[in-house]
Amino acid sequence: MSRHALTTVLAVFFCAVAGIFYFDTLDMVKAANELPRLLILLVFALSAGMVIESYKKNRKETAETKTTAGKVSGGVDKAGFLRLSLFVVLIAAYVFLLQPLGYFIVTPLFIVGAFLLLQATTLVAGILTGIGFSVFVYLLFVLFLHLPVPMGLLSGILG
Amino acid sequence: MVFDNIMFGLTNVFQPFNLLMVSLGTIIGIFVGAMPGLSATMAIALLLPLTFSLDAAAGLSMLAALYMGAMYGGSISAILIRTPGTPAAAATVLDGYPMAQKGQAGRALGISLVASLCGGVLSSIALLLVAPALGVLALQFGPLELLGVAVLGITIIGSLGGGSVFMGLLSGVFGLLLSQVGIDPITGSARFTFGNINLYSGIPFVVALIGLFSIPQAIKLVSQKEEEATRISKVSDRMLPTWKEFVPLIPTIIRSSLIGIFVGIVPGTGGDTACWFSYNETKRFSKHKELFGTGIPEGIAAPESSNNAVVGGALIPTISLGIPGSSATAVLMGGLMVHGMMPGPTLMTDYADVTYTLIWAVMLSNFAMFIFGLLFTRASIVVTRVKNKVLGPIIVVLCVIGAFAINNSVFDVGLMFAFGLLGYFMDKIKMPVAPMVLGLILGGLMSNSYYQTLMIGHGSLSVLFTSPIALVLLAIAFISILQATPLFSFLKKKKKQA
Repeated sequence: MSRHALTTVLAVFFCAVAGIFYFDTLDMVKAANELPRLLILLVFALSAGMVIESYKKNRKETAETKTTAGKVSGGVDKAGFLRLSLFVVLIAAYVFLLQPLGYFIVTPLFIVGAFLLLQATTLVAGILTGIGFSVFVYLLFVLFLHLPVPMGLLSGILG
Repeated sequence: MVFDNIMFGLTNVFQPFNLLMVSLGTIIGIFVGAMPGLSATMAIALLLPLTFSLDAAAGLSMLAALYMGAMYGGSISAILIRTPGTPAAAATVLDGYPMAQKGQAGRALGISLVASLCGGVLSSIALLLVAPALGVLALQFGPLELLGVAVLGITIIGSLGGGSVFMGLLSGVFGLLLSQVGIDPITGSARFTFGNINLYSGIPFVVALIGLFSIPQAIKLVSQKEEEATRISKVSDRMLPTWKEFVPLIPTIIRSSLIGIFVGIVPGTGGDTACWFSYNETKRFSKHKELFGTGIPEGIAAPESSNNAVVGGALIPTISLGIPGSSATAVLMGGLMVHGMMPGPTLMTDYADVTYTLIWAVMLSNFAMFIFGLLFTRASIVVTRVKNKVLGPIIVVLCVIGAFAINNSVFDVGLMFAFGLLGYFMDKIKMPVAPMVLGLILGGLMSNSYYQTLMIGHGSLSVLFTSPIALVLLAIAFISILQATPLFSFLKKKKKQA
């Protein structure tokens, strides 16, 4: 995807969020909606400015190089793109399963899964890293700092 | 009063627990800085939740020490594997790696360490002298001036951060818009919560911060090819330079430190700007320009003293005015708010005990960095070998636990992930994320001062014209936007022709 196309997509996203926020301001009292509406207006204006600027830059680069210019940096090949997408899906699954399974079950699974997907290390090294990391977090966060960690299925055991 | 606070901070920083936190922060900073996949800003964002259960002074001192340590740590991988550990060490590669290739890796690291110490100490002195003075001035700030500060903070970091002004400002304004989510403090009505109880207290900026800075980096790391690093695998020569080797570097170090302090004070610029600025200036002043890039001491001393000098410089506007001097200090500002301290003029008075302890902790961290740098630099070579594909998932795991720890909420983890995806796409088009974080941080201040200004002006913003300070701040904000537009380049061209 070209940088200009991605810029436009992001501009549309920002405008969509601002638009949804604008409809919510219709139910607010005047004092509460004044500043948000000013900011919403600025988001629309700046998004338009960003797209126009990107379009001009893209046209200039295309004219100079006579190729499809402005490719998004850090492009990956198809296999790499698939692996990257699966990694993002894996993160989403990790977040989704955090509450029901608990941090100390889902984290080693995530680490092992990610390492295998990315071919980062061997299976044994991945398992050891996953378990070791969970132990480290338990000792540091739960025992030493007394910070909350979602326990999930292990809430009865680890407390 | 100021002198009393300075002395209190000095005695407080030497409390055993604070000393431990400064030491720990410095060591973590050196190791984190040495890892090419991690930046100081990201490390501070990830470790911020760890400080929740700590005393404010201790926690913030640890984070500031981490920042200082990471500035030196970045030079380790720059010198040994030709890859800067942090963006602020990019210029160090030019002469650091060639010197290491000649079998003088220890010498290169030693010059880097000494230069970092000098730059950091000079900027800490500047912080100690300038911040309280600016803080006294800032005590005169009322709602009109605070509105000016908030507007200036967003516009200057959006327009001076490099790249497109539209992108920078849009990022900042969008952050301000997101900061409106939650219960409106003036009317008590729920804004943009859409019936979701998790949003009633707003979007926690630490969650956004972790997501925007760390998740994109984790995704980027796993998508990069593992480069065949041409690495220097060990340091066998002497590290510390002799006095005879150090004396000729003094002018370079002083000049570069002043550059670093100045760059740090300017919001939106940080170590990545300072290192190149000082390297180029040092080369310009040198009688042996042709030697730069071949492994000469000045080529290492210049960027390393300036990038450490940025730390103190960036903290000056952060502490005294509530305008962060760099991305890392924007995150530190978030840390202040997490501990219940509003960044801005009142930091030097209402929270003087924490603020002055923090200032002395920055000074102390330089010496801790020097000692631990001598002790651990050889050991930290190990972390330069960690594969990106191992680092990426570990960063995600740290992000998840960090985001959860803020409010004990899985919703926040989901929010963090959403911000992470947004940050990834923003990074793809080179749209800065720091202004968005700043918008989230300053949004509350801007909102309150906006409404107070309207009340003072009986519904009109023209009351701003009655405050010279507010007018100056808004004028600087306007100029900072203008300087990045085509109009400014047009005017410059006209002036040249004349």
